[in-house]
Amino acid sequence: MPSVDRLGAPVDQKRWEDEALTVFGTLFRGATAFPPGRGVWRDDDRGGVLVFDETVLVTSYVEPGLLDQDPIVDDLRSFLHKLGREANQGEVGIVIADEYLGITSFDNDTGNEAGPDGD
Amino acid sequence: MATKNENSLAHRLGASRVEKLPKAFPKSPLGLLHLQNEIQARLRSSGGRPSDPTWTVSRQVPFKPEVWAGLQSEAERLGQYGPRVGPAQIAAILIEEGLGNESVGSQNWHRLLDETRRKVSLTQPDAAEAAGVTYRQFVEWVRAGRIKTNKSEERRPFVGADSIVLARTVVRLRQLGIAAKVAFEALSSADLGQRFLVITSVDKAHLEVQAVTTPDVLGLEAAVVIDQLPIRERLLRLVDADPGEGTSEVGEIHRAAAI
Repeated sequence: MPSVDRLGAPVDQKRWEDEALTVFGTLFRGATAFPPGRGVWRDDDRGGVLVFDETVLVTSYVEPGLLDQDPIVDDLRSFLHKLGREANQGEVGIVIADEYLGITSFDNDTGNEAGPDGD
Repeated sequence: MATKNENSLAHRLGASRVEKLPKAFPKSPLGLLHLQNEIQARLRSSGGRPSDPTWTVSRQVPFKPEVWAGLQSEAERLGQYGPRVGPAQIAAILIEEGLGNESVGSQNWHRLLDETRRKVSLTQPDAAEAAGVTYRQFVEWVRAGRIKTNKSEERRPFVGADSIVLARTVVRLRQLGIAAKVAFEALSSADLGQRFLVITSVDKAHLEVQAVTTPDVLGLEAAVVIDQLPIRERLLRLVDADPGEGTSEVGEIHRAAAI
């Protein structure tokens, strides 16, 4: 969970940490948020400016079969896109098994998928 | 018809980029967080340096200087965020992770097997859900005699742990492209009292399965190894009143080679 948005303005990190734990706990039965660590992200859409923040990492052990279930994936998607959209993030990342998935175009708040340009 | 790419988790989550990561343990950030979590959960202080009370055997183990220096560095760093930890303690945890703590795992398995066989008795809808299959499909399997049920006093069928594990395993194998009929035929004679189901030969019409207690599959030429432990842990949590702490359910199925 980020501490700043893509322009460097502070975001309500506690709110997003609580929401992530709630969503992960509901979907996956448990989750852990770790203390913040220094993080950085390169915003290529703004000429490669580096955005530094204090990132909170939330982890959860997930029974693999859960990720075959559409309602669970839909709820997870909804949360990740909401985080990106409402916290004005350049990218929301999630690691599942041995893959990092980076989301840069966010669905709008009616749940419609983002267009190719992120609209 | 949806393509494979459209069915991928990355596509379903709306990800625009996917990066393949190295194995998580122990050098990635997530691996370090996992190690930190282990240390905080296991080390207890009784006056001196915190230690895991189950570590009752001490042995001298030689290390390469650079490996020991790395362990010292990690111990110092991890100690800043939790209990004091020594380099040898980190080595012990890494060794246990690497070996899978088999002796403890074996005891847990027999207890779990016994408990699930005694306690788990679910209605067909609940059993279908636990197996990850539709109720309709589950009932078809029951009617076809693939899945056994127990009639209760009210003549309402209940399903035991072994039957649910069997259905769950078939579901898993179907996800690997193996037909349910082939999977049921191969598994019908498998001893579900053994923790690991090792598929040693796979083609569209035939599977060979060996049930073994230890994960030692050397010489078996395993194509797929199914670990019943996480499946049975989940079943036990379903029937226990106290949901307890979540345990890792990763690693239910391990694919040793492409089918």
